[in-house]
Amino acid sequence: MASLPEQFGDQSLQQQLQTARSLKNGLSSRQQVLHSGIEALDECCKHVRPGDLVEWGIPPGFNGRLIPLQLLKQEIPPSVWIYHHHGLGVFASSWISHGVDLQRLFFICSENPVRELRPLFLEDTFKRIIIDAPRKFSSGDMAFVSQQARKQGQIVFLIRHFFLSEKRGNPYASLRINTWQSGKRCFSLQMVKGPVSGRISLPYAAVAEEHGNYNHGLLLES
Amino acid sequence: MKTRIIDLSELRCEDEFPAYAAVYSSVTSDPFVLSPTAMRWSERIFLSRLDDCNRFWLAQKKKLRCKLVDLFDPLLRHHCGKDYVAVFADHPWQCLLYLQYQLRHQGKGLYLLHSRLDQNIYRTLDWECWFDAQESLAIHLQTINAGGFQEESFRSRQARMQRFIQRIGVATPHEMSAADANSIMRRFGKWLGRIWQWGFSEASELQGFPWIKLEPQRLPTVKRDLDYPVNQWSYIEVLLREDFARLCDQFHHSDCVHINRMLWEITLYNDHKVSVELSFRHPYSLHRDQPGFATALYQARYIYDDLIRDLQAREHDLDLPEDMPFLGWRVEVGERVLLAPALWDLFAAESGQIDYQQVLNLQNKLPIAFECFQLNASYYPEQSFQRVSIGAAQHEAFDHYPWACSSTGKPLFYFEKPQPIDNPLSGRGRVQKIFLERNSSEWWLSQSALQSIRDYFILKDADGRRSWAYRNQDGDWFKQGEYC
Repeated sequence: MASLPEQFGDQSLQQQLQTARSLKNGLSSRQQVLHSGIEALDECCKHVRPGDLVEWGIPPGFNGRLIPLQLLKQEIPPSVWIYHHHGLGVFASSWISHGVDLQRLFFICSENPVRELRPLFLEDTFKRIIIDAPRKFSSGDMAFVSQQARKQGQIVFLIRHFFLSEKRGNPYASLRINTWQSGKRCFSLQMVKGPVSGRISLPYAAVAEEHGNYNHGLLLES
Repeated sequence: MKTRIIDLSELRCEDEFPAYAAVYSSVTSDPFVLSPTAMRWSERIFLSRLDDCNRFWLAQKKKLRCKLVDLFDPLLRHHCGKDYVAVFADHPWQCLLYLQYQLRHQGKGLYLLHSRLDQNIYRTLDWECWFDAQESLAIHLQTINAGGFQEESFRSRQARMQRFIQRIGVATPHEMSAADANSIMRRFGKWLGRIWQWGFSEASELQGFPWIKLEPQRLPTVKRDLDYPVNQWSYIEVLLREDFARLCDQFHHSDCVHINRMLWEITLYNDHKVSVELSFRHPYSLHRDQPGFATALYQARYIYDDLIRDLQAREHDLDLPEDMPFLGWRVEVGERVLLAPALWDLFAAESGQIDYQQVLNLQNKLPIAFECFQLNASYYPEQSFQRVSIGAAQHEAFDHYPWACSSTGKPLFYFEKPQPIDNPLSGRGRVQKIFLERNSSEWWLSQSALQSIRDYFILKDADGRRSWAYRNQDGDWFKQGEYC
């Protein structure tokens, strides 16, 4: 009777299983990549790894961009925010006031990022790429961007100017979140896809430091 | 006890940038090291007009966070040898005069006439030094056959001036600096009057200084005649890559050469020639980008796409093919700068984790520029920040905190031109108006001195959408941002 090749022996299988388990343990104990300092938000993003694409649903007017911004505050690697808002430019002092280091975060305005900024996705100069409400972004573009991100260990945030729905999924995104400011006192996060589900509320003060302006603002007339 | 060291070499305002430099080099050196505008004064001395590229040097200085001396010294040391002497001042004559003094006293290195120390020494220059420096000027004027210059007459007027100085007993030219250049001109002739003017001028104009611009050496060019017409980028790319390699050969693979512009003259199928420009936002090292030449090829690709689009959109020449093939081209280096590798590498390795050189290289490959910002000490929204070049150091001159926290309640994106809107209270819809702050323009800085007051509000519509708006003192409303 022909003997089993060595790699299929019981002993070997057991070893392989142990190695696989230790690999998994290694994965789970790996350090969290995205930090905000806000416990609830960090919990949502704890499984995000280099190479992942996170999709955000943030319609204009709801101040929701302050949430992904929290993840760009602490010791970030060189990052780029690709934006395209009709007639709107970057109000840099507000970003600085929220604690973003603008020596590390660069901006570029493009309505069709993959077509116009292809070299940016082909290199690993930026470890975080935020694509904010692109006017043109096909599913082919999405496949290209997520593939490049995986290849180069980048984390890509894709911000949509509408709320995301479970009805239309996105296989490329590991995490899909809707965010908005609800009332004067808090921000809301709705997890559409990710390790946790449901809705999370974050106090306003945790997201935007209070300096006596907004929360104590006088409601004059209505 | 703490000791405070006062750096006498750069005591004056850092914004002042010298307009000219005179460099003495004991070795054969390239006169275009500091600027594309240069003049050969003598075999060993060249003059550079820094005014033409002061923005570039100021940006480098800011990026390297160094003093002018630290910026130029490694560069001149690399190109002109360790025994170089260089003087930076507002007028070429001041550079030459002080250079002569330093050479006479075996000075070495770099001198800035803007600095208090060198200015004080300059004021003590005696008449002997003053008249000696005129010897080389006289030779120069004679050589170029300057209009109105006659050596004999010049010498006799010099002698008259020397007699006059002896008579009145003035020890140094500076003691007589209040004398008007016109009166010197009337008394001692045109050229001595001009020399007087040049010696004390703070303006960067030449004021009749005999500047003979040195023509740059012919810059590398490659020409390609195709055996068969091509119009597909995949073919053009391969051939262009070969041409860039040929350009590199012409530069002898020098690590100092960085290119600002390249001209690409394309011969189309109908023998029509189209000239386009490959320009780089940051000096580009062709040599370091070989063998792929990705940056130059990206720029060429953008130009090719635009050109093909324009050609396809044309309405005439309909008999010609839609995708007009190319019959050949010529690639010429239009503008270049020479940067010492030491300076370039220092620039690249700057600031720990962020490799700004990598960002700059990427920038050169993109058709759109990156936007970088830094905070300004102002509460007025439009003036509270400014756009800066990549890697520019932040001002540490003020405490950021009070200025930064004043913008916390403001949106991340704003309208650069505020949009007029109707009074939100007069409309039918329910709009909440939340007062943020009252802001005043910096009227004390403007010429009109008219104060403009704005009351800022957050406007929240019935759907909960927030916008950032203000009411001016005339009661007009403007939307200035969106809480995206």
